[in-house]
Amino acid sequence: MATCSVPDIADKNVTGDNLYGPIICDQTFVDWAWPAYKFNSDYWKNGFGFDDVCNTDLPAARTLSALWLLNYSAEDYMNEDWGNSCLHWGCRYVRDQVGDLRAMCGDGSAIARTTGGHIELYLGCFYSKDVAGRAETLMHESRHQGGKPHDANFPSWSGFPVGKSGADSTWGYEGAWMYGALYLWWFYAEGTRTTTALRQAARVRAQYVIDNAFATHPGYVI
Amino acid sequence: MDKPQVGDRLHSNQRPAVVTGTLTHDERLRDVLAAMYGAGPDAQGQHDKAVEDLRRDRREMMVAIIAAYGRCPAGDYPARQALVYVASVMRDVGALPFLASVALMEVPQEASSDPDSFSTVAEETIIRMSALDGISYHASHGDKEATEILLRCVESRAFSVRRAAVTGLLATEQGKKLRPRLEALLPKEQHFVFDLKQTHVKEAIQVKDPRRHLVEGYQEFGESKPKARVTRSGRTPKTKKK
Repeated sequence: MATCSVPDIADKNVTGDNLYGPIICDQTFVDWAWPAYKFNSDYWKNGFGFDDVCNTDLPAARTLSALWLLNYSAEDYMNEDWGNSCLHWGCRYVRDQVGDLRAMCGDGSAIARTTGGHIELYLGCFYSKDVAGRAETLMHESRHQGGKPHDANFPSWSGFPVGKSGADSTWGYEGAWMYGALYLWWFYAEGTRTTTALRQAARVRAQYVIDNAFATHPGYVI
Repeated sequence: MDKPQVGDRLHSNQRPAVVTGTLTHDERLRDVLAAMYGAGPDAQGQHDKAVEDLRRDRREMMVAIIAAYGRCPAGDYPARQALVYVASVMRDVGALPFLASVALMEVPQEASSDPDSFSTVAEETIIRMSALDGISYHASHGDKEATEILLRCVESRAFSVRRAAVTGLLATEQGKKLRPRLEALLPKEQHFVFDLKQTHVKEAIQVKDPRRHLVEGYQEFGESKPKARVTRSGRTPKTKKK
């Protein structure tokens, strides 16, 4: 068991927490999302927001915001058909993959880890990413949960540690980086119930992943 | 007996983020940011109105942006990116020196112990890419200074900055003429940047069938999601969960 503190909180307008926070502060949504995404309540107590789910300074609300974005950003959000874009089925994929969702301290900057059938989210996920970035993390980790590890080393031009493992070989490998980037890309292109500024931030983040996280550049400029 | 603690413990230790201070235009900048990142049925209109508002008193607003950027802690990446975005969408050549200073600033060494999970290099580069967006706009409208800045960015150590600069330059009127110079500036193994295509997500390769990638024995959650609630009520839900 580790003990940690809430770090400096970025302006909640620019992270989207002031936009999504009031929306997730809704008993009906919380009561549905909590079991649907298998929040392990024991790991959301002790300051992580279990008893204060409307408080966007705390991890529970920040995670629920990302889940709201995943679930309601498609115009026709009740359509979660697998044959549609991942803006539609991303929420369903995460829901079906996550076995046990936990909030933990991490080392302060770590984002998330998938291990032993559960997904651990750390302070870095709650406080250094905007709401769309947190949704991307959930997509990325869910892909790992589906049994797809990274299969390549970061290329010579990458901003990630060059030559070290952690990259996906190609876009067509359909790995965790592709899932995260594709979601952000759709969110940028067709996301609704959000803001232009958040969609633009998603575009730049998706492009960074496309540029740096594949051993063979996918060939796309967004 | 009390149940033993299972998970970690998080202490609240909140300090307000320092995005804007007390200069004359700081309050307006705060309002602009709030409007740009606001939602609702007319989010785009609100965003555009905020941009219009920015364009009044451009010089003073730029001073406020630069001052706010300077006050941001290095690790407040969302706020720094937002300020660069604001400067970019002003579409004012007066923003170029600021955008250039951001884009050309060397990316600090990786500070994360686990960059696969969280990378400070990634966050810093993303801020520079946002600056490149603004610079590229001016270059594409024939601004020579912007073109010169992009040429300097091609020599950046950050690949995404180089790539964005090349993309921006090739989109200018002199793009074709500049290509040999750009080829000389880039290492051979990165000449693939000349073949990258601006793509709509609909044209990108999609996941073929996501069901192939589900864990064995997964079970669909039985209840369908509630309808979206987009109005603010301020109601605090009861906190008992299953």
